[in-house]
Amino acid sequence: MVLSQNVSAVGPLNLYPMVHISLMFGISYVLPDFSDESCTLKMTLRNLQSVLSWELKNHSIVPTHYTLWYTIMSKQEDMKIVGDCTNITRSFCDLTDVWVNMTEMYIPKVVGFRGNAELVSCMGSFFLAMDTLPLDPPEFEIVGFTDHISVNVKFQSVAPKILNEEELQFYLALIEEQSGGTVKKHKPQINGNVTENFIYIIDKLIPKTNYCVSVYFEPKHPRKINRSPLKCTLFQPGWESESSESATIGGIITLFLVAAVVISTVMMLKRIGYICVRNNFPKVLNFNKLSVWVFPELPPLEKVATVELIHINRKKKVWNYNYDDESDSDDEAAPRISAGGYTTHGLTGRLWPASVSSATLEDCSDPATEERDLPEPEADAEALTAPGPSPWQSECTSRGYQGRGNLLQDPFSEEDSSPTEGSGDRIVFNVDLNSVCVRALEDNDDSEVTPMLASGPEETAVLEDPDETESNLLLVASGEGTQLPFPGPSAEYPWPEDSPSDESDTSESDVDMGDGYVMR
Amino acid sequence: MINKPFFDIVLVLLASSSVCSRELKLVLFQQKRVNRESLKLLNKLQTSSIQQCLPHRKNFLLPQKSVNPHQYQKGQALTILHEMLQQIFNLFRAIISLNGWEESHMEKLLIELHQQLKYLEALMRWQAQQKRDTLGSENLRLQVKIYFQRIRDYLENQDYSTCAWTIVQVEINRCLFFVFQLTGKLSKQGMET
Repeated sequence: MVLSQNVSAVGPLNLYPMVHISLMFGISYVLPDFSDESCTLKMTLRNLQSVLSWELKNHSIVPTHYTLWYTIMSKQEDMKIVGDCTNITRSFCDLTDVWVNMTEMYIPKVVGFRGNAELVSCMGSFFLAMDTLPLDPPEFEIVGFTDHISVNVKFQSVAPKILNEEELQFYLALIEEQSGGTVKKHKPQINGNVTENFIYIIDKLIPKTNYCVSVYFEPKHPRKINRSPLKCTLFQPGWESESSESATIGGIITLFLVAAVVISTVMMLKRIGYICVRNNFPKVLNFNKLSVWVFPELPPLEKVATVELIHINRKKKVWNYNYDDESDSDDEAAPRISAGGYTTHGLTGRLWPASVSSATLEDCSDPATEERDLPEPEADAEALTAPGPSPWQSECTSRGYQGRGNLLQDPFSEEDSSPTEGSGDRIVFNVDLNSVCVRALEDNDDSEVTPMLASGPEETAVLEDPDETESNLLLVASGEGTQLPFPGPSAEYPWPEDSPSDESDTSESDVDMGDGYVMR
Repeated sequence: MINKPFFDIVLVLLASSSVCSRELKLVLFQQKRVNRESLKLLNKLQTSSIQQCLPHRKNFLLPQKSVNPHQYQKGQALTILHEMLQQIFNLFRAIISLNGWEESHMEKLLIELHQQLKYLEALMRWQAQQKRDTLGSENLRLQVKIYFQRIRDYLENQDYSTCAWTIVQVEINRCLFFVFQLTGKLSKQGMET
């Protein structure tokens, strides 16, 4: 095209074509100014449409129509005319479908005519990828409801080819006019092409507050942002309950979520082993039980047997060289007055199933029992069981006793004891016969000595300080907890009443510790 | 209990990915600065001068397939980016030494380019440690080299005239737009992995 060639060749280095142009058109200009000084070219994105607009600086020149050409810088191409912008009276042209390549630098040229005469010509250069093209905001409407504001944004039906949705971010600015101009931004997610109308709901608003809304585009490339004019509405009252309810529900849900996250985190850490590490310590290293420290359990001691002592009241016999068995039964024990003033009792033992009792056998008695004994000089023996160790027993000092057992009843009395009635008087001992000495009763002395029971591996127990006067006590115990056959003291134990002399001989035949005590 | 080395590996991967994503963000941010400085330089060109140089236009055959961000793997994109920016840096450095045009703006652009190259080299070293796939990147690098060689040849043929430099500036801005697109794509991929 001759005109385009002549136009493109204008410049101080090309005088010949300029002269040619002036001769052709009859316009006398030596150096036509094809810069943008005669008019201002502006490229904008109006509603996502690429629009080139122009404005003449010299308003005295009023063309009747315009024609638009353009070319690109990347290669040698002639000026191309824009078909939709040929002989137009408006001063802008939609190039959405024409300038589609963002990487190109476009060189537009606008020529104003009056009739067939060219009045003015403007050229420019636009690099769409880099130029700061302002984006005009879209049209929108707002509608206030009881609990929210609805913003209806109207996009063009035809998406502009020049814009990439990924490079364009649509913003919806919310302005609170009454609260001092606090601006809250909303970024509605727009999926797909921006073609249809878009409705955005704004909720969680403060009642009785005037809200103004403005929308605009913000492209990723640096561009100027044109905000839309504000549109305001008053948020009506009566939304408080709903908003507060929704806030409450939201808060509860948030709390649940936080708690779930915390619990799951703790469970995960516990399962991994970072917290609550299990200590598989041996039991002996377990110091968590306070009662162990306060009331330390004594280790189990040797098994002891429960022995029932049967108090036998025996009459003092006068030696008459008569060996008849006259008076005593098996269950009797004649009290003897010992040298120390103690009355000894010969007691027959009865085997009980051995009980593991760890009581110290000491010559000390329960103060309660002692108290009972004092008002009862008759020394009624009561059969008592030893439930187990008691503090007073542990505190009692042993007087030479090495064994353990429970002496629950002081069988001795300081007075002459009259023979007790019948076989109801019984005293039960838990004695560890391993370390006690049992004295055998002997009738040939002043004190009666009951013979020791020797039955297998059982131990004998010493119930009395050897320094003390002898006492009659017959203990039968089973070291292993089995109930040994106890046919009767008369069968196995030679009673002193039966044959005192024999008993003494018997006791002497046993391990005699002196004073008639026999220890195994 | 889960093995301790497993946790170590997870932590290293997370740290690596965070470092990588941070570096990519830096690359993206820096590329914006580079483009901004380049655009400032381009805007200094008068429209009249652009229009005067219309006859000197030349098609340098920008390898658009090479600069298409949608067809690259991460390793290839880094290689292309580095090569293009390195060539641009060398080109501007040669021009400023020859003609001394717009020294202040050119120096600023060179500083931004240099920083961007540093970020890219760090990413490439990390990528080499990760042994990412870089197959096929050498061919793309070669295409970019040939493209810039054409630009240098054009400048030489035009005796480094004003119009030739104007045309080259316009072309460089096209390159930077592709670089920016590629950087954005790379950053997006890096943050997704």
